[in-house]
Amino acid sequence: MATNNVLTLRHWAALAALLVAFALSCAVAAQRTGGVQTWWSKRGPVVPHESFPADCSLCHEGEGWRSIRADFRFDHERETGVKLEGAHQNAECLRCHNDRGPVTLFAARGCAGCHENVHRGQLGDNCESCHTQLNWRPNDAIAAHNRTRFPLVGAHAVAGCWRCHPGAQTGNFQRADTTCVACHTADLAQALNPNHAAQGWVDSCERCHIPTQWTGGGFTHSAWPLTGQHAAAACNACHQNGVFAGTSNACVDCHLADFQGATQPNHVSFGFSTNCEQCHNAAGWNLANFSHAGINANCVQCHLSDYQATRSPNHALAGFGQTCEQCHVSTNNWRNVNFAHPQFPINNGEHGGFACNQCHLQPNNFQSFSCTHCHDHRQSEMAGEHDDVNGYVWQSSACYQCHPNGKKD
Amino acid sequence: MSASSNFVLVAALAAGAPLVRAQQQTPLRRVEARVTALSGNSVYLDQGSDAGIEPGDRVRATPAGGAPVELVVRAATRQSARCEFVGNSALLDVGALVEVFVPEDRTSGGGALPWRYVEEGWNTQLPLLAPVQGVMPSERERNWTGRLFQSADWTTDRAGAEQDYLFARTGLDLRVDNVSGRGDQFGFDGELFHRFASIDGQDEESTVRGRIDRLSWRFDDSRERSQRFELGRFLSSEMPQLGVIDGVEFVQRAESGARYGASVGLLPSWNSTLSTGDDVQAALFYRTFAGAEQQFTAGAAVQKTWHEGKADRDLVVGDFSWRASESWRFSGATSIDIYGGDEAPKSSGAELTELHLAAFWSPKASHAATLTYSHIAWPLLLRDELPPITAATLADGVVDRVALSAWRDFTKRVRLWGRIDQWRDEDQSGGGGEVRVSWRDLVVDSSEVSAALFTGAGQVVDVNGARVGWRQWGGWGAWFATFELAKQDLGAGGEVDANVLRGGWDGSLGRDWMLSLHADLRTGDEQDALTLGFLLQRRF
Repeated sequence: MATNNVLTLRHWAALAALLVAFALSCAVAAQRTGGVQTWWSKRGPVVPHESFPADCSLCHEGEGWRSIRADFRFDHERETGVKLEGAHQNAECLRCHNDRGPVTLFAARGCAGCHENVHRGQLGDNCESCHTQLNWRPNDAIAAHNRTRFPLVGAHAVAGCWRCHPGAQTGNFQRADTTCVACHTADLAQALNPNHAAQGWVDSCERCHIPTQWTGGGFTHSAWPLTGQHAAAACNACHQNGVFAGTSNACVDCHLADFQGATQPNHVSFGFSTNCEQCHNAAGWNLANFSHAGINANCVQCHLSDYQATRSPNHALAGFGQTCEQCHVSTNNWRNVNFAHPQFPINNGEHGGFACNQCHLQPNNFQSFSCTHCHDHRQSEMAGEHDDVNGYVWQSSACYQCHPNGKKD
Repeated sequence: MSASSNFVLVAALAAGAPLVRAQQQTPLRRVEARVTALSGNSVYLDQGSDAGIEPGDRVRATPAGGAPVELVVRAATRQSARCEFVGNSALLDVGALVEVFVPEDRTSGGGALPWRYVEEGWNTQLPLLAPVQGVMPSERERNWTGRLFQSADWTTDRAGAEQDYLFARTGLDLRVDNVSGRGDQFGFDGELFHRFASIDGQDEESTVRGRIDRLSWRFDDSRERSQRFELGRFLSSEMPQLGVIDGVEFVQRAESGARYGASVGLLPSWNSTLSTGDDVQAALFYRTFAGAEQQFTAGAAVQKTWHEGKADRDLVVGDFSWRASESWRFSGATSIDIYGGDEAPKSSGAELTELHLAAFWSPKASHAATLTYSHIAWPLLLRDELPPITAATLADGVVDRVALSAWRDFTKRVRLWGRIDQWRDEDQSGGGGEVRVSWRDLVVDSSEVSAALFTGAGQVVDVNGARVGWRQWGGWGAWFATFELAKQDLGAGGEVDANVLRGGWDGSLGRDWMLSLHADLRTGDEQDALTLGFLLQRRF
């Protein structure tokens, strides 16, 4: 496996071998060559120099005038109308001006007039689209790759060319298959979670992956969009045993246990449908999209916790019955109640609009009430008014016995 | 001639009489010449062997206001001669008249005009060093040329799965001309290379391999010989589409200039090592030319290959090049595979595997345009030549591309360049374009500043970006720096930024050495990579 340490011994040994080979070759070459711009009589005669300056030493040096002066400069553009650029500026004159034929004939053919087509004609003959005259290596191949149908992105932009073009070193850049798996066969073989090969996922990687990363990003569960809680679920929560094909779209096929275990309300006893999405969505079980249509009883089956948690008033302590629908008339708002206070009129009259605790002084004890704490019912005043009442006592319960409707009469 | 000149001439003759007396063992004739150049101790004259002048002849010159001085001819061409002072030098003016004393019998005599040789078969269209008189290969010496190079590119990426790449090469290209003295040539192109890849989570790849691209011995056709012959490993010179061959190729040049020939041998796989041994090929080819300057050429070839003894590919290739005028040039190349009935998924018959067409228009030096079209399909091959491909791609994979690029100089310094292209494959289509403006010498001399906008729609990635660049060149070489800012749209994967800062230098180290350095820094989303590289080359 990769160690992320490029400074391995084997690696440096390879580099050293290449450098030694290069140095030795240079040394050998140095023994074999003379100056760059030299001439041998046996190469053939020189064309007449009549039009040249008579001073040979302007260009030549040495006994036999065979060598061009070290400081010789020839303005090829000015003298011939043809500008030499890049590496051609330093090329030996004889590289072009030799006895293979008129140089204009070869120049008219462009690069191909002199340079072998190592791409074997498969990249056209517009060499300048990739190469410059400065050196023979393309300088900006990545940018040029944008012109293809596979612009290089992420890791692709830094990978060695040979990873996709195994023959790149020999000029073979043609026909790289842009199908992901053409290059990523090894990655496919290593994809075991889930096991791609076992699932038959051997092509169309782009359906799930994006070019910059194998995980996340481009995976679209388009056949059954993963929203809410499902987005974070592990694949094998639904696709068990590595089986991805044929997974049911029905909620209950994964959530049957949840359905059967539901107690608030007891889905089974209520006879709820197993078509979960009728009430629930993927955001969570408690955020049910439940419709109360047709339900007018047994609220407490679902809302017992609401009953027990209610504090104002505390239904449990107050001894409220668990027949919610007796008071609560709306399935949308608990506070929309139809509360009847049959023992004592509080909807109108002098006691209308009273808050509960104005009479029920003991919190959460609605059996207890007080009439006498009101300033209108001071004991001295009431005693005077009831001196003709036999058995009068100044107690709230006695008040209620004689005034069940809260009126004097 | 002015009076003063006459006086100088007469005085010179009088004063110089003793000087030439010793040379007058045979009668001498006086030849007048003028000084054309002066360099050190050398004086150059405008007369040469056509006037009877030869090395050793005595020359007399009289500097203005000075005594006559003597020179001797050291070298002579037909119309010039180089002399050197005998004894002390003197100050002569260009244009000064001198006398050269040559033997009377050396010329045609009788005051006849010097014989002048009119070269036949040479004109200004011929190369500078064309042999004015055919020189047989046996008259030439052996000549070695070539180049050595060492290059390395290292890339490290710390985004996502960390990865490192190294690609180093050491190569030698060698040509030995006239090996046997019969106009033959020995050629060798080869290299050692080291490829290293370390990708987090994958097995490390480290290979050192060697490859020989050429190892051949050839006889080129020449004016003396109408046959060309090459033996060994070489790229077919007449039809490069046939590939590198380990074998022999024979070419015959007809009177008309057309060439035809055949090759037979092993066909190395077109991979990084050009591995060979499994494939055999035989080919026939023909190339014709038209026009006085071969403005039109077209070639065609058929190639049959066998892989491990089994019939593999039946290939027809062709190409043409036509320089229709000074403004227009056309070229094209094609390859067609012929399939039999048992080569599923290919259907029986001919399939256009490749077609490349190009039209170049350059009416003036200030603007030009290029239109190209290409068609690529995947051939059914038994041999290992193509990268891995899927069965679906092999069956119906096809890519058509058309591109138009053009440039125009609005001034001597400002150039507008643009390109638009479209592609279409078996499933999708897309395209792109780029427009670039460049200014030369905008900030400093010998520089170019450029700005470009580009867009591209690929199969899975769309790219939009901008690029600015600076190039500077001079006697020390040329360097460049560019910065690219791009948005890459991954579709469902969202957008990522891809920024590239790139720089480099190319230069010569003396006459023989060339060095190229470059660096790329890639940043942005999913990218954190650095590339460093160099190329060192020695030419000999």
